[in-house]
Amino acid sequence: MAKVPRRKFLAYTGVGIAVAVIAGAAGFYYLTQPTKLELDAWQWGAEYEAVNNALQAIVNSWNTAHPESIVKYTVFPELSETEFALKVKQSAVGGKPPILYYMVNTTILTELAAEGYVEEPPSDMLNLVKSAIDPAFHYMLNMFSPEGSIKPYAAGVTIGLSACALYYNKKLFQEVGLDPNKPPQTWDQLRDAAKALVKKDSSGKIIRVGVSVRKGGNPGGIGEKFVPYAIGNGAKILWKEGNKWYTDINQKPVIEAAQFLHDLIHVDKVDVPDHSSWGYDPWLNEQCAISGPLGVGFITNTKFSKPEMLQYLGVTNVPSPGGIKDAASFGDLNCLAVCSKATKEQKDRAWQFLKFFNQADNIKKVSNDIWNWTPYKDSINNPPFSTETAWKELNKVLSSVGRPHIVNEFGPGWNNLTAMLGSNLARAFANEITVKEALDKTYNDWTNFMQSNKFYTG
Amino acid sequence: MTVKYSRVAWLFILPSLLIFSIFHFFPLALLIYVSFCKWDMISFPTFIGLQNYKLILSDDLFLKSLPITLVFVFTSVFVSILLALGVAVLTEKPGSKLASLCRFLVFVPYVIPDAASAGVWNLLFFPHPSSPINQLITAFGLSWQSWLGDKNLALPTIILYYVWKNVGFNTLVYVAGLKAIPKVFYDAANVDGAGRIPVFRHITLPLLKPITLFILVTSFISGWQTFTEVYILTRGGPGTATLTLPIYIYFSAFGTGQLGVASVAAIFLFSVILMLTLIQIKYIKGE
Repeated sequence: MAKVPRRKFLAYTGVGIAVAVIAGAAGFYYLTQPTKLELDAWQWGAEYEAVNNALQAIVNSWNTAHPESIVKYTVFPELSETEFALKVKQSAVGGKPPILYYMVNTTILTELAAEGYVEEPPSDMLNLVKSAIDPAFHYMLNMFSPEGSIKPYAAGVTIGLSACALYYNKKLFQEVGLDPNKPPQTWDQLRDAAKALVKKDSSGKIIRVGVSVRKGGNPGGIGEKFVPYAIGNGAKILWKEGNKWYTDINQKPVIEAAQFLHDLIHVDKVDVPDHSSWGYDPWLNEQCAISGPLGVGFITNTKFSKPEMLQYLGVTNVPSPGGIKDAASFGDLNCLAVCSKATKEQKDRAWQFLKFFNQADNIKKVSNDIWNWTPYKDSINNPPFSTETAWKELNKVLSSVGRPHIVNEFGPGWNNLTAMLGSNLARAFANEITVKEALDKTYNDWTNFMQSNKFYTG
Repeated sequence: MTVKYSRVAWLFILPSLLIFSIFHFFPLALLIYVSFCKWDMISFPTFIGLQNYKLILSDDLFLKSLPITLVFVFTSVFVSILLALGVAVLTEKPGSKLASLCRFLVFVPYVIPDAASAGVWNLLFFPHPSSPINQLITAFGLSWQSWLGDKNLALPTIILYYVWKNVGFNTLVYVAGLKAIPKVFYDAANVDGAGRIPVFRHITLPLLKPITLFILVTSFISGWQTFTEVYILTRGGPGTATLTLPIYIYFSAFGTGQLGVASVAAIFLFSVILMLTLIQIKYIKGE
């Protein structure tokens, strides 16, 4: 055996001892640290960057103050509502569910609540939230419980109101001789206004849409944006009687609403048959005069994308045949809730985080500071919501509509119903099938699908 | 000695076989089973026999997706093969920097991620006169088009995108094929005084047959499975104008939650691809 020179031997031994000491110290430090509780928050949708940034800032300040229970959230921007709900359920079955939900869409939360995946807030949490949120919007916290009663489940709101209003261009109204302070409130008024506002080129092609109808993109979104028109015409969409769930999705009020929108495209020709007229950009670029139903983010987006357009932004109710007294809006809100499948320790920490979130300073960060409407009292009674014209018009619409925000009445199967409805309506709006065929197919597909849903006994 | 060798051979391929079984055979078996079931992906599937198969045969969306997919696949495959061959032949000048540059430019779209390039095409072909492509064509006195928003133009636009994206790879394969043709054939043809077109027809094309068949097989498989670009560009719209079979499968499974029906459609797609591939391979072997 070769002899190792003494110096080398001592050097190797010294290095070895040093490494062992350092490793031991690191291990000791690591093992003696208090166990970190990670509160996984899953976010569906990746809208409203300013809101996401504000939420992240709140999370960061919580994590700094509470390193033993950090919140970290994962965004799922491209999953459909059905996929996300499925992911949550699968992870719960697999034993590793998210602890917190941040939903950019309550329709998923409605389904999860009805199927027992959402924890009802403890009474102190609920009292805190209810005292902070304007009483006019308390119903928005409600969802169906697994027992079939309506209970509050949302414990924090980051943005509210989805398809709640139509947004029109006051300058264009004036240009075509319409009164910008008298926006359309009935179907006939909407049709007439859109006919005056639509602009075509020399070959007859539309280059500015009078009113935009949602007919493409995510099928669930198509269904959701159609709902206020249908409810404004007297439809109920989805309800429970006794143990049975019912839908009137292929009945007269819904057919008439869908036919009205179909005719706007193909008879009155005030909208293009494709999906290009929908959303914020066509309105901002004056390629669309009346847009919606869309959420409160429309005003926020205008402010930050093209602030010069804000002065022309008008807000009105989603028209109904009977005018504003029958008009509906869709009160889908982006909110925070806790997963019922988490451990007690995780849930307790999650509630503490939500109490932290609901403090006035934090609500200001996620609301007033970034022009983001939330239903909190401190939020809506302060600038800009109490001072800016567009927000004041929105408040007027919300307080005037006859059938406000009945999203909490929609129970299990709502996600699938809107997806099927949207998918079939898109075909009807493309003139591939009739409106009646589309709605009959929706009814058949949904009732067939719901046969295997344990909450459906119809 | 032979038995020992076989055992050792099996041992070496066992890990790959295991991974292949887990990620290919098992999902395929599950897919076939689910096609006979109703499943919410949470609880255990409920066996319902041939109900899903009956449902899909009466589903007009599925029946509509078939001709759309056929048109998409056959048009895009044949156009991209013809273009690739043309570009390969025209740029087959050894040492020419211009030829190399042309091949490089044709190949670049292939390496751009699908999501990014489809997103850009969405902006280029936005159905409004202000979109870049419409501004270009109106500058030449033509009238602007709705492109991805027009039910008659949406599918051709997607085909155009697919050809643009994939012609580069096919060109590269053809260039390699052309380089592999022995020069002696061309020399002999030169001596006999054959012109360029007869040389191309009687020497180049026949000798490129194996390459062409390889490209055909791979392009067909890829074409039938195309999902990302259609999803990003049109999501199967406007209406159902671009509803290809993979898009139908996706929306059946994750849009409306009909896993069983989606599985039947997936099995159908698998069968079509398998059948086409076997026919083509048999033809290659025959040749």
